[in-house]
Amino acid sequence: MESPLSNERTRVACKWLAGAIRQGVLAVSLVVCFTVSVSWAAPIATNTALPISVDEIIVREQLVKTHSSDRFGGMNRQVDRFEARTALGYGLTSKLALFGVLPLVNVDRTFGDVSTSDFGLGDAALFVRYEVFRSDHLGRTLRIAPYAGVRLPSGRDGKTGDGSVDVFGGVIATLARTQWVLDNQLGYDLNREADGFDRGDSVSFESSFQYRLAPGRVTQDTTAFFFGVLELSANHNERNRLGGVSDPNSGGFQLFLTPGLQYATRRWIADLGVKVPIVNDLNGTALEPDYSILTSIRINF
Amino acid sequence: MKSTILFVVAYALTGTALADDVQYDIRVDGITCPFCVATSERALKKIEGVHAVGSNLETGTIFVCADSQVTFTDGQLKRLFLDKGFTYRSFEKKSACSIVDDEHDDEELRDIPEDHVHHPDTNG
Repeated sequence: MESPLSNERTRVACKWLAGAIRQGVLAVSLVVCFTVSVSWAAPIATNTALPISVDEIIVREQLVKTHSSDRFGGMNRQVDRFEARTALGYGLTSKLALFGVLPLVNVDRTFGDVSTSDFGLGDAALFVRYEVFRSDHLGRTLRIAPYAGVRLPSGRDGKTGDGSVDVFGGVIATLARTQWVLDNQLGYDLNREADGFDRGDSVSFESSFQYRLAPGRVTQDTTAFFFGVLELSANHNERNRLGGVSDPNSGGFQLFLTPGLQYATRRWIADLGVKVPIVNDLNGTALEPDYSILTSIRINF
Repeated sequence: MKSTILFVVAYALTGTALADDVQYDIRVDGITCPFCVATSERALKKIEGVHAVGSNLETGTIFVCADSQVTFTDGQLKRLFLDKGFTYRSFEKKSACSIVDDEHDDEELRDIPEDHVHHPDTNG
């Protein structure tokens, strides 16, 4: 039989967990909401403007583990979020590519001595990318491609998803050479309300630089590149609204750095990166992401 | 003397095998990594009569070894590489192949050993 103290603690924990879903967990989800790029170039946590061939399919399986914790140690809140994201890209025309992302999510939440766990589908994303500018030269290319999409509430509302139909869009510019690749992305997420909860909109800028470490010289026998990768991500999130009221413990500005490695062959690309916050200027008591580990493999069919 | 005879026989046999092959060196702009050039190579390999395809990213060249009956046109190649997301520039037709395809997943291409190369006359 549980003691009244235990019941009270459980009640408080459950109350916090409900809040965490609305605040911390969803704030964390923002960190990884754009960590899937299914195009063939090298970014680990961002997108690229480089093309997908007509009628070609690229599949990317990405694993992302994010740990978040309380900045105010006394509350001992922690959230570990693990996502296995399956992403598909399809080249409809030489300029237009379709993408779909379906995440499988596990979220472990700890509040003091109480832990809970949720597992299931996350919110799926569908988007299109259209190349508006291309400049090709010997061994280099510059591409600019806007994108737009929708995030669907395929996850469990308040558990592994936020229940709303959100839209997002932005523009990607990629400058690629045989020695290095630079991807830049500016994006906006317009998040809508569901069941009284309205996650704050967000604007993000991401930049990824990939430098070929090996081989030193490209020849006809070269079949693979080994890249060092460095990525910078900046996000500004508006405050969430719950029942029409702004949540002071949500939103804020974050800046992340993601060093990583990537191996690219003719058929597949594998990468690994660790995303760490440089600036965590979050509002109130919102949970603070400590790190994310990202790894993926993409295969060209 | 014996080795000379063997060389002549081997030369004649390989020469017969490759006698009808030609090579297209296709200049393509915008290809920057092994992963991105692979789809173009696969598309070229699907063309009947094409035996081997290789590439050199540094020179932006895709090499195609094919039967002499296989012919490419600027329009055809422009369309093919446009669909693959790259920009076709030009091609040069050579009377002999200098590449082979090892049929591995990586589609690694190697230079043919010198003693297996057919050297037709300069008129092709």
